Amino acid sequence: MQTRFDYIFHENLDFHAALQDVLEYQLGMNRVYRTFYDGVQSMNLGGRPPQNQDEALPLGGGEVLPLMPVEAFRDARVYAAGNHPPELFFQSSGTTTSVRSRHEVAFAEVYRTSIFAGMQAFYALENMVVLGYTPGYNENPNSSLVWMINALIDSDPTGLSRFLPIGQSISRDLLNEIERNERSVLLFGAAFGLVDLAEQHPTTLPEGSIIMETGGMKTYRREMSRQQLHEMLADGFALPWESIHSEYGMTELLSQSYALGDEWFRCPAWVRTSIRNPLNPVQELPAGQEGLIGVIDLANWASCPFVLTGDRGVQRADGAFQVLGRWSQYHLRGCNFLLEDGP
Amino acid sequence: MNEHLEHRLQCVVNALNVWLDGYQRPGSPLQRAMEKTAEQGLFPIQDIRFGVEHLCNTVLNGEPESWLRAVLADGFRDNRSETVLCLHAGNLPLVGFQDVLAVLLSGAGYAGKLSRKDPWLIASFLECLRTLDASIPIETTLDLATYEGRQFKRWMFAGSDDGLLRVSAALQNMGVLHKDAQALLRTAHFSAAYLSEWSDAHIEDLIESILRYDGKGCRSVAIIYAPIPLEKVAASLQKAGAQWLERNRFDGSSAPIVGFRAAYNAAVGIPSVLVGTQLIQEGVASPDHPEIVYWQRIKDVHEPRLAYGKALQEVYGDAGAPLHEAQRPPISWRPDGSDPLAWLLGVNG
Repeated sequence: MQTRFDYIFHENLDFHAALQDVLEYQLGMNRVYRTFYDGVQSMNLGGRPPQNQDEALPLGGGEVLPLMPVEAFRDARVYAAGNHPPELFFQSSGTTTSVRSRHEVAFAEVYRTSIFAGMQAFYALENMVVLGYTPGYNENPNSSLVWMINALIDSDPTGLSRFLPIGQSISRDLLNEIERNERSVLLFGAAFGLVDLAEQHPTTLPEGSIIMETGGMKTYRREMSRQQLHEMLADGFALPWESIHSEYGMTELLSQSYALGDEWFRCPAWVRTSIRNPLNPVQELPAGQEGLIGVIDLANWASCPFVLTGDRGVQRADGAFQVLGRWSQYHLRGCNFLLEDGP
Repeated sequence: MNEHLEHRLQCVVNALNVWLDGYQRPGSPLQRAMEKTAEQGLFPIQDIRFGVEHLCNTVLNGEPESWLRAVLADGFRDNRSETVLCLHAGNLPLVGFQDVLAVLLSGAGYAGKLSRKDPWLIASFLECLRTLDASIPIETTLDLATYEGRQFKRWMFAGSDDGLLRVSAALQNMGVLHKDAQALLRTAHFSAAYLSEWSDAHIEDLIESILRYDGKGCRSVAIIYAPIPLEKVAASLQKAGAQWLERNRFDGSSAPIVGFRAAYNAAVGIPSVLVGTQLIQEGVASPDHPEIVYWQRIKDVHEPRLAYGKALQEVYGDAGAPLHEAQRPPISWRPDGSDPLAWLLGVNG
């Protein structure tokens, strides 16, 4: 079963055909998604599988495949690998709700492949040493981010990749060794942990290095804009602004999207994002309009690949998307004075 | 009370009498405003009537005078030379009418930015007042640019925290506000009912508190705390909801999010029931849509406040206001815990 959908990671993937295949599998194996899917159909809300290649693309328009709210990973067991016991178990950190999401991953190898194939689509990993700085995550033994960084560290033949000790500067000896090996650094970390590191222990990273901030405000010390954050990181590590990248991922998804020095995230070939209408999430919104970020992550075939996030976003016609923060929870209720309240 | 306030009170009360007297009279300014509001599809006629009838029951009962006298007991500031800016939201008919009365009773002039979603009702009252006493400073507009450069020193706002930042910046840029302008800001979003002992007698008030104005008022109940599971009362709530709809809506169809959420709840095993146009459900409470109401088991009477803080307007029931006041508040109710008249008169609200 593990290799059933290996082809999704191959070059020249026919996304539409793969989506149909995964959807069929899900409807057969995922009772929770099946019930949701049938429910949406019976409510006559318009959700249906994409009918052609165009509709499988990010901005197919109209009413498209129902995406299940990400809270399903909190409210139910979302598992589609039958009797095969899960090989990994991830849990969200619980910063926003006392009830945490759980993601049972049937096959560790699928996650590993997704991590490497996804990163290699954007980065020359073979020339990089991965450093992880993850205060706040380290206390969560079921962090998918920590597992991901560990996988990257373990794959480094030089043995230089590692987690950095919290609250200490990056060793000059280590950086010299990295340079001697003609490699650059890929420094992974939660945004505000990296800010602390940059402020308290500024250093010069080897040329070509990249800071990968993974979002996640694990230390609520202060608020700052994304631009301020990136400027601070660029200054602290003596890198150009374009070297500050971002990763968009979550416990519930096995694939990540990357913003390569700007604010637009791009996803790997087996992932499609769309912006959904918060008032009717089976409807896709056109480019430029804000809504909920929806993700189809085919690597999630053994849990649920069709996920409606609680994040606010906007998408470009080429499929790149911005993350604008959490969807404001209460603003549809109560008074809401608007500067321009309709014609 | 000084002469200015005494005179102002009389003018306001007289204008309310004249205006509300037209409720049942065809062709009256109030009737025309109600008809236009309904005909333009801004609000259901039943909600408009409900709001007006509630005003008849409160403001014609001497509540404005009692409110003013109660506040004045703590002393007051003289507002006769000031005009206060009121920004009206448009989520339900006559929203912000309390602010209008507060500004007028405080002796100040009123400058309102009416909502395009509710442009007729408040305006028709102000027209009545103008007819009775043209010397009271009253201005209304649908376009904030009208007030460019006015430098108002006090303003009243009801909306979301996000909206407030945008509105405040825009008003400063346009010179609508003085740089040191004082604001009465209200940002509560919803209310809760805490019913530690369940009785079927709650159902009628509960239904009214949920379905009236389609759940869009900050006094609308978004979370119900009860000692029993939803399934025990689902059928009764559903029946009462259907009866309410029959009396109050021509079109009883639900918003798409209701079907979407019902499908989700069925998939993950969260009990839910369609009540009128709304969905009442168990599960983790996150009052994001006006059409979704959460049913929670009681734990601690302080829990709603601890969990929702400033987002919460009222907790009806055991330790708070009576549930039947949810959509029928006294004229002196306190949005976000502040008495607007007390704020305007410079006394502790």
